[in-house]
Amino acid sequence: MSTFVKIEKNIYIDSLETLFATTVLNDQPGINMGYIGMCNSTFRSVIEDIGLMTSEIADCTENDYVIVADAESENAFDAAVAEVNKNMEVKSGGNKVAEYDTQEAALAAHDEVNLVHIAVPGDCALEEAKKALNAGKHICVFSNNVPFEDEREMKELAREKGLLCMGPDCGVANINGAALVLSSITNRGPFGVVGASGTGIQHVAAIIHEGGSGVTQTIGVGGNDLKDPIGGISMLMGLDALNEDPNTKYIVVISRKPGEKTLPVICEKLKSINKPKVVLFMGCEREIVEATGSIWAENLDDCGIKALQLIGVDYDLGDDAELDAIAEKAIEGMAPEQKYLRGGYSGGTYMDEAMHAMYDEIGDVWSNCPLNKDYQLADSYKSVENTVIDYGEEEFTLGRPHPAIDPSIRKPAVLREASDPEVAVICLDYILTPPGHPDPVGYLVPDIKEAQEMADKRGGKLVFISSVLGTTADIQDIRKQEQELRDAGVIVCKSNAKAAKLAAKIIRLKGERDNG
Amino acid sequence: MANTSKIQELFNSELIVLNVGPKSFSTALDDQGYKTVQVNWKPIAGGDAEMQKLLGILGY
Amino acid sequence: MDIKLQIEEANKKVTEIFTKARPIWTKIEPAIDAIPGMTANKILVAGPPIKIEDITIPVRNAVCGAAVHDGLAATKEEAWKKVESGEIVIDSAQNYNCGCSATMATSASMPVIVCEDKVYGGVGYAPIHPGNSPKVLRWGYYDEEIEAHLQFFRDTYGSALNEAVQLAGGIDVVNVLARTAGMGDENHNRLFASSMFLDLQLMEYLPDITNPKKDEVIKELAVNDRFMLHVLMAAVEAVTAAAKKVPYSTVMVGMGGNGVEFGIQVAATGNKWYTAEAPLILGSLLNPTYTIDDMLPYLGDSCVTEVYGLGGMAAVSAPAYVRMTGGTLEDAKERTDRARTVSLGEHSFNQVPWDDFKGSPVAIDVRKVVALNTLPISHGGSGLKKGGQAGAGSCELPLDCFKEALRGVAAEVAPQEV
Repeated sequence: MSTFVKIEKNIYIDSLETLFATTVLNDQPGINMGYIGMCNSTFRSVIEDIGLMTSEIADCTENDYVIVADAESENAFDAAVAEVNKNMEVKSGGNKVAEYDTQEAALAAHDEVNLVHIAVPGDCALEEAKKALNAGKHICVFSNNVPFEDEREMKELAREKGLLCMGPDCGVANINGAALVLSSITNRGPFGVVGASGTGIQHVAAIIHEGGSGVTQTIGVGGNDLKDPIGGISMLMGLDALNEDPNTKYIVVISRKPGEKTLPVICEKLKSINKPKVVLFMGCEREIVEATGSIWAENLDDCGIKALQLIGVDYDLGDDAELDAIAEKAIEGMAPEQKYLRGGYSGGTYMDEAMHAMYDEIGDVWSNCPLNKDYQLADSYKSVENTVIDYGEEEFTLGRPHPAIDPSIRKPAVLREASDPEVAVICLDYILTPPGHPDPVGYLVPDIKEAQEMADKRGGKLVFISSVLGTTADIQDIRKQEQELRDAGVIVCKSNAKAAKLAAKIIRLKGERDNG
Repeated sequence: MANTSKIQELFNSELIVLNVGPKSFSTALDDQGYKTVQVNWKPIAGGDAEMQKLLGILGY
Repeated sequence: MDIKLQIEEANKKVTEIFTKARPIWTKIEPAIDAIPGMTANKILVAGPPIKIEDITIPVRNAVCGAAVHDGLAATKEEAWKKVESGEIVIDSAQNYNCGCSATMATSASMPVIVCEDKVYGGVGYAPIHPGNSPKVLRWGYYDEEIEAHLQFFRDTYGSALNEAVQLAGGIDVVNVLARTAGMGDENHNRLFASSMFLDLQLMEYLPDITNPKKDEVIKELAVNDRFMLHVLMAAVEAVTAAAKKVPYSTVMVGMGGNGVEFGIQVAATGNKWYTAEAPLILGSLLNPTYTIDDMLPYLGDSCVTEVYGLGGMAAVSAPAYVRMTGGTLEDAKERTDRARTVSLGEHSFNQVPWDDFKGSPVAIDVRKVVALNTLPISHGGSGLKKGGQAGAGSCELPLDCFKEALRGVAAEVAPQEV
């Protein structure tokens, strides 16, 4: 093995693309280890770490794109690079899209644009947002790590101009039927959704779609909008817009409990809206919600169910007895030492929901972001007892895309957790979205099978439980993904909360049995 | 109550998105059948701190 | 006033100069009479200043040839000794608002084209294009035959053309460009239409000149389908002469290569050069036995046409030339779009039908080049290390000279902040 390098000078490729390309590179035959990126300080420190630094790379600037790998032969390296390039071409699509270097140039040539989607590093988002707003365009800002003062400035500017500002840190938005950012493709119908949690919006919209209805618009305002420094600027505008929109008959609101000063302002606004509305404020007292004349929802599943009730659709997620029966069967064949669950999540909303669902059965679980500080993991790569990990957290995603786009972030976890003989259950969520992996389940199936075989050889049985967030309209098709899971012997639940609940039930039951 | 007329106009128009950032987002919208325009955004001066400072001084 | 506002105002002014100047070819005169600062012992060459010992072999041949031609030395060897001793002074032509393409060396007695911009008052110069023969001073050769040709230029051709230009009352260079727009020239490396139209302007008056050798003059002119290039270089120098006097502007006003380094000039700092290692011009080679190792890096001032928004900046105007550099019509559009991204104005005289009648971009802002990391593409002819032309093609302008320019301009306009 020796190190091979390919350098392209003076181009810029976003880390979203380079890290996915890295995944492809490392899947190629004859490649021991490789890395792809723009030659910035992060890149340099990574390749120093993995021992792939060369003098050629040392001479590169941050404007240079580098592919480096420890490979069997030059031929193997060249073939792998060709495969990487092919993959990037496919990803960038065959359609002839008008392309520009700057927003100014693009808007000068395309005044017909009505929404600008911004996905640039957080500290650069305000500048791009201002360019769009000053040109009279609505914005959807995917960028995260945008400073509070920048977020406030762009939202105040949007408000002044009467333009919609979705995000920053907007994970989900469906406008006029289009699935923006990391949304699912959802049927259109009478529900207008506005929320601070992307996963939450996507979850409720997917239930509405599954229930045979649909959404007019879903407006993601970003995780910080309802915190006091921002004061819910986008939420208030979103509510007004949905209230005015004649196609929106029902309104659904999803957020963690708003900030102390923001909550009463939002409640006032809710009071003024006469359309039927379902409100989920996670962690907020029921009376406060109900005092606004809204239907209170307890959690994401409940929120979707109560929305569908407004149009007379009864949506059944099944009851606890069903889960108990599945749990009973699941523990058959497990080895005595198998007693813990492990969870790998693509985001905080689902992991929080899972931890709450598990709590009722087995109490606190360890995590990189636990509900109870005493259960903070010392090392996110070393699970103990019952552990759940959010792979959307910084230690995994620094400079990398969301796990929903790049499933390679979570991939190593499957075999890492499975190699612990005390593990009985592994919970994994899957999220479907147009820019995401074309087959997120299929991507992990080989590892799942290998993990099951490892447990078999030890004389035990490893149970995998999953739920898929998405719709039948998604390119990946939720039904196909679910079937792939079942074919791999994975138990598929109707929702994330159900999956977590089932996992915890299995652990509780197994413990009860083992202890007589 | 905020004036939402521009937002109503958006809701009642053909959506045309300008994507500033990774092209996979505009490809995802193309695949859904929406019109898109793409900006291949690059960090100012490729992230070169010295040049960013000078550009700031020179009003860029 | 705020520096940023001053820069903005200055850039507007320079953009206006680039787009509104009307350089007129008014006369041909010996360099010593025409060019302020020219002296009998001075020889002007292309690109940024260069140390004597670094001067490439073809330029050295041209310099020595020019020195012998002017009687500064009896032999080339003697000429070089005088260059080394400083008795003969070598300087960058563009510092004198003169353009020297390829290896051309301009000495005091040589006739130069004089263009005057009556709008902003700039005057620019360039020696007369020597024709399509590869055996010329301009490609690094000098012998008796070439000396005879130089003498014909000095004693006959220059004065004859001068007479015709005088009779014509001067020739409006922008008019020539405008009348031939859409005819497939990018006017750096392909100038067939503009050269012919320029010839037409002269043809009306050539029969009336008094020069007894006017038949030879007409023949010399008629066989040169690139004659326009040096007239255009003088015209551009007239425009940039005015632009170089606008303080605070971050617009590029000069560029060229000396075969070792490539350099640019910025309005705010006038004749100061910002240099980087010269790139290779890649594309087509004139002889299949030539290789990259035979080629000299970027050499010549003819790219001042690009400073004025022609050549690579106007690539879309000349799809056929782009094809010769290994590109397609899409590439041609991309090259012009790149230039448009970093430019502040556009030439209304060169609206390209197959580019939606958009004008070609002009006035490159060095800030934009660095900020957007978008490097304009230059067209050019390439030289051989041993002398002669290697081929023609294109290259990206080197980023480092733009970075250097930002440092220099910031130090000039905001020393306290740097």
